Amino acid sequence: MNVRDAFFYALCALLLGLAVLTVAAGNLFRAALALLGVLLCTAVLFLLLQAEMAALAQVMVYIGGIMIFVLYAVLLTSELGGRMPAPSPVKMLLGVAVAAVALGFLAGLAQKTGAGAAAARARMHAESATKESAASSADAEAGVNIASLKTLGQKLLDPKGFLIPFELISVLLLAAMVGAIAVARQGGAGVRGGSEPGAAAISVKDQGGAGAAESRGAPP
Amino acid sequence: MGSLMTVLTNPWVIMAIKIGVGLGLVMGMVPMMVWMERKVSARFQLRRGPNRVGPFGLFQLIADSLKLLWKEDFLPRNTDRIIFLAAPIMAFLPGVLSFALIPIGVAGGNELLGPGGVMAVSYISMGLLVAMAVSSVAAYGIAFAGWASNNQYSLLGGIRSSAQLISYEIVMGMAVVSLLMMTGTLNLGEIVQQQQELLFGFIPSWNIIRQPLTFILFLVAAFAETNRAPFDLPEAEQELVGGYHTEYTGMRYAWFMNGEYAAMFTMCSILTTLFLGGWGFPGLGRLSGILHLVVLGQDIQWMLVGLITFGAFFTKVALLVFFFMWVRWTLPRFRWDQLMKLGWNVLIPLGLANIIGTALFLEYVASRFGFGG
Repeated sequence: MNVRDAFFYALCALLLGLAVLTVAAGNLFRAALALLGVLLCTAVLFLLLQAEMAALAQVMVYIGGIMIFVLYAVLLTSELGGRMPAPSPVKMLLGVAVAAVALGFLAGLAQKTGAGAAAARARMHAESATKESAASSADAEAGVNIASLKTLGQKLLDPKGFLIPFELISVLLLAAMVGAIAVARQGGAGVRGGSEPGAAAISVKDQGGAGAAESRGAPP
Repeated sequence: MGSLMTVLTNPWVIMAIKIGVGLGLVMGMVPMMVWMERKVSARFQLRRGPNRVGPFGLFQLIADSLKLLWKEDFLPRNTDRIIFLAAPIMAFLPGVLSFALIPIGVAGGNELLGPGGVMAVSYISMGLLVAMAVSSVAAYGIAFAGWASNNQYSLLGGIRSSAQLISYEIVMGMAVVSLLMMTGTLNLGEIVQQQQELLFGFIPSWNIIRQPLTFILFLVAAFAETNRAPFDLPEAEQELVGGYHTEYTGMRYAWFMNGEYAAMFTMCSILTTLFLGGWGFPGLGRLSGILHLVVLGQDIQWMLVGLITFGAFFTKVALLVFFFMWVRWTLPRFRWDQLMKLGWNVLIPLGLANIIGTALFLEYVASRFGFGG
């Protein structure tokens, strides 16, 4: 086992541990932090696969964007040291079932691409042996990166490529956002349009009751 | 002597030296900027500022640092201990990390110092993207501090910070997109190199002249990302005591301050690199030509060129830092809803229009006249 493999296994162990923590942590903020760690580890995995673009996109989109949204929501709603109630057994079973289906699907995919991956692995090992000579020509490296970036961009905007899934995902995100706003509106009826976000949450926390939020909503 | 040279040319040793120099530069600039801020703010308020300790009050920085070091390290009760302790580090790291990517001068023919002739701690082909990725992590330190402090002022600061960063990062991303359409590369060294030509023979083709709107968008977003006034809502002392760092004392508080100044220095460096021609200035080619005639020995020539280019880069960064301070002590803070309106109703539509405008320009004007990127 060389250093690279050892690093890979250590990284995977960390990733899996953090993933378990994400669902097992009783505190919402800690769960979000663990998820942050999972995403970071995934970015490092992409780097190990020499997919720099994917790693950077992972950091920018998930860690720098989506996770800040998640954290924002957690900051608004959860209390320090507060513990979430344990989910009901039905929900737990449902969760396990969904996870099992996803795992099966991914395992099938891995099986299918296993042969290709083995070939890629062999190629990578050969490459890392001659890495020193490759790294010296920075221009060639830049050329490769730009080329892959260009093909990636063209694939994303190509109607025969990923254009339709790409656009569909944005609609999905929009739906999720509208749903989140609808849920939030139902809960916090007292939040006025112009008031600062968080003010209502704070006042609820202060006086410990939904009545506080209502009294805030009334005109002074 | 021979053995010393083999040690010094070992790539690991060179990397360690580069990291040391890069870190030392940022860390050395932080107290200088604190001193400068105090002097500048004093001048803006018709005061003299620190002038008792040392020449021009320069030793005031040492006194301040010592004071912060000796202060009691206070850990409030009922905090989330791990996150509370991690927050100052998280707030400090991104600013220092992204400085490593910035080309600060011409390294000359020495491949060991700078591959591709560019002086930078880490010169990689996707530099701009990495810098954006690293700076997008900056919100976490403040959010962590706000949540872990168990203080409602802190929490409000953390919430404000994350909302502000999300909004203005979109603006910054859009500015970068329209810049990239013109440069066609993510390599920071190449972006600087492209700006060294002259337009019409006398205007430096810096990106601030080629894309003024992009520069303004990026500049405003940079103010918001570094939490500098008029965007310093996360710590607004008149409203939130100290905002996210209310509960922090001594050195832990100092790390937040260090982080803010390091981030400002790095942001000014990025602005210089992307828009102000980086290390270059009109007449650099002529000057190095004269150097080749006057100074003997190629190593010394390259060393001089390296120093001059670094000096040019540093001067631009220092002027930008002064501009940041100028704005802070001139403009009042935005109100919360004004901040959000400016971001979402003004800057983001402007950014979109800028992207479309740049695309149209590149497609119909630049390609026809062989002008621009």
